[in-house]
Amino acid sequence: MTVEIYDAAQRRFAALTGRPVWRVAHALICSRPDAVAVRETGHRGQVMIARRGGSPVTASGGEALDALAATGVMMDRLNPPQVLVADPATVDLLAGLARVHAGADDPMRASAAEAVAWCTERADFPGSSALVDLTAVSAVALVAGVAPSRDYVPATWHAWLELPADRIAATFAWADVLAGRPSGMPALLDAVLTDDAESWERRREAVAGGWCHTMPEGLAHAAVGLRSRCDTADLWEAALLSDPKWRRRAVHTGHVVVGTAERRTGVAGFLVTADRLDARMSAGTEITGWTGDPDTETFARFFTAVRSAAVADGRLVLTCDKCARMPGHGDPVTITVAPPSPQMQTSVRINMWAKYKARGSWIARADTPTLSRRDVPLEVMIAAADDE
Amino acid sequence: MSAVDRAAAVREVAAWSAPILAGTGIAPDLPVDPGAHAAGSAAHAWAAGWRDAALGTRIETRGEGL
Repeated sequence: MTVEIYDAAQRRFAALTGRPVWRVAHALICSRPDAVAVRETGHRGQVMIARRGGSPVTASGGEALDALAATGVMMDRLNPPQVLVADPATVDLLAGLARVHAGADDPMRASAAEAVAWCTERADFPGSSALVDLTAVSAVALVAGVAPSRDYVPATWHAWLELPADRIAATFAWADVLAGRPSGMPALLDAVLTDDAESWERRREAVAGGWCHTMPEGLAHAAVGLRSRCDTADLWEAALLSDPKWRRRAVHTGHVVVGTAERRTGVAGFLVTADRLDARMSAGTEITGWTGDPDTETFARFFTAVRSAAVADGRLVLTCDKCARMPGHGDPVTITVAPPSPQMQTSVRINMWAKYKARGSWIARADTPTLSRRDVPLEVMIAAADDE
Repeated sequence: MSAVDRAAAVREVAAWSAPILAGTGIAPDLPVDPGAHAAGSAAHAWAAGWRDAALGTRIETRGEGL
């Protein structure tokens, strides 16, 4: 992998020019007109809260939830709220507030606690626009001329994006910079936004039925919730790979392979030979690709699977199954891991839910569940570790 | 007028990247044409990163996206 060196060059370029470098052509978040900014004041447990163009309210504890309710962060709204924060510490603070005030006697405060709890849970879903940690998104979307350890410090982006000194105004300006990319959001993140809306609707129904987020979750909720987080992380990875700028970088992580197609007599599929050996594709990997370089935007993609991967004469050789739109012999090709199907993901989760909710133990039934394994994305593991 | 102290930024990045670049032969005046270096080499990655940053900045300035 040579991505550290690629990144180092970009950091040096940013330092020399005094301007951050974009890693993506697309926006990774959307910024809603009714978004609410929440910033810590520096005093323990105290936050500033404001809607766009509104006067900020400084509060702590239950009064902070009351202020959030006044800005519309509560369960009676039909569409999900959007909360903009600068760092994960604010997410933790909000989650703590929601936990402490869950089921509060004041129905407005209790409603805000549930809405805030939902927002902080959605922070586990990369690509969600329900709760946006602006520093985390900036660290993915941009490269500043700083050491990577400072990527996760809000002050870095305040300086490099030349944000206003007023912290609330800066928060909205920051979100607008990240959301205002000319290419819009990647299509694959539409599924995450749809999931935001559906999750909000389910949560509203549950809360209306007397449920509260501090009550224990059932096994089905927990299992489908983990699966949903993994699915969203997969969509996020695929959305990044759908971005031409990100693909250029991903050549250096092995997630994108640039090579030459080869067709052999008597072989139904095709081969891809590449100079780089560090591809993250092996036998069985489902891939997509196209004729051309990583920048090429094309609808004429092929979708297939890698049958075998080998090194021959110092070059990587991927043997791919026969498919539609196969490249011709000698064509330059770019391949990446195939994106997941959001519809298939939803179908699998519905099936999981039905099985977990089925009456009776599987021990007493004939249909013993089969063991299934999958990689849990790093973001999900980190989020789970943070919860411990 | 940038809010960033560019000289300080260059020093910070140079200090951070020194161990990464040690032994790679990469010099600040390395040609930025990735095609001049073997794919997968450190020099190729450096040149590609530099080129992509410069290309992105140029296109952003023209307001054409990418």
